[in-house]
Amino acid sequence: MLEQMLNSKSLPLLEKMAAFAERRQEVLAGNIANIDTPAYKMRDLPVKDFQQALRDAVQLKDKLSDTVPQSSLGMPVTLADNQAVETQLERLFPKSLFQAQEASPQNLTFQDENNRSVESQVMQMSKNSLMQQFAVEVMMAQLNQLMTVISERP
Amino acid sequence: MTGSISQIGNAFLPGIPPVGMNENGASNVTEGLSFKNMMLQSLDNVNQLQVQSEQAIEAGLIGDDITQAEVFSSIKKADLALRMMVQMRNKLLEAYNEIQQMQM
Amino acid sequence: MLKGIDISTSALVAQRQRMNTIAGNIAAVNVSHDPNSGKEPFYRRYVDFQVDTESLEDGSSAAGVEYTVKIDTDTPLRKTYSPGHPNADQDGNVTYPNINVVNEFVNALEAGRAYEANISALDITKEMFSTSLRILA
Repeated sequence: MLEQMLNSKSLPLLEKMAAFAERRQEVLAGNIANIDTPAYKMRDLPVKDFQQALRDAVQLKDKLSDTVPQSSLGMPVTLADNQAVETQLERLFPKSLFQAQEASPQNLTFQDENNRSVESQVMQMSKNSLMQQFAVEVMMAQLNQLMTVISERP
Repeated sequence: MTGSISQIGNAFLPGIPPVGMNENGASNVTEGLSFKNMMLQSLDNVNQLQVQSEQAIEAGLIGDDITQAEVFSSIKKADLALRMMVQMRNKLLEAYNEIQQMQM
Repeated sequence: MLKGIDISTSALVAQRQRMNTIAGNIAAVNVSHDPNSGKEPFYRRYVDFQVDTESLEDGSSAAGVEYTVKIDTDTPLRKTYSPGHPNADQDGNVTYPNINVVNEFVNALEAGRAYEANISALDITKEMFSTSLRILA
């Protein structure tokens, strides 16, 4: 019952997003730090793959709530069901999604064989930090809702 | 008695008749609308708002064309509806306890 | 959700490339062409901006900018009469690129201003995000 409650609504997805954004911030900061390093190639986490995993997770959640009657808030009913959901969710987000790969923005190469592009890296950092803020704020809002219901004090 | 109450209601808030009456003071309670049904309907509404807020959050996470303001406002609406429901539940419990303690 | 940032960034990248081509032009303004080398003379480079149609296709109303670097072969090359110059041709003319430094300076100023304007737009977009957090508070 506790796991059902703590993984209800979008909490698992938001956790994954916040974790991904933090890891990505490290990689992007490393890119900016290596602006002047010769032969350094820009690195990034696989963003498109991560978004696809999020999409798949959302579809998985929808599929599960379809089999349950609408008035029960779409949560899996038995403990076994819930564990199945968790393992399926974990399988959608393998460790490889959180590991940096080489990524070349706009196919640029400079004379020192560095493929920097300052604007695009700073832009990615901004977007990343905004997404992280979004995920964390929404997570806080949902956890506060749980607190409201538990403490019976609105 | 009901007539004078409805008059008070109409005097203070013109255009907004009290619940269960239309503007002329006549009762417009529909067949089968009881307190219990109202409560169940409110529960459904709260649930509906929660489902909508979840859908908005998922759309925002995936990268669909929804603005951050829309997501946040749907979350806040669901939150307020939930709090209202909790408060109503508290009041009902209080009323029930009070009635229980009435000495017959 | 974050499309505004993408759009401003596309403009920043385009203006920076424009600045790069302008700098290249200014640097090459006095490069004389050797008629015996068999190579093409240096023509002025410029950047052509277009609306990024890809971002329009997915149904949204806002579009970024893309750039292509083009070579200006329409304006005539500059010729000066200097018979003693090692690169002078039969008539004693030396060919220089079709680059007008004053034009390039003005373009550079414009590129700089456009860059600043886009940075402002980006700042305001980010501020809007921060402000919308107050809905939840």
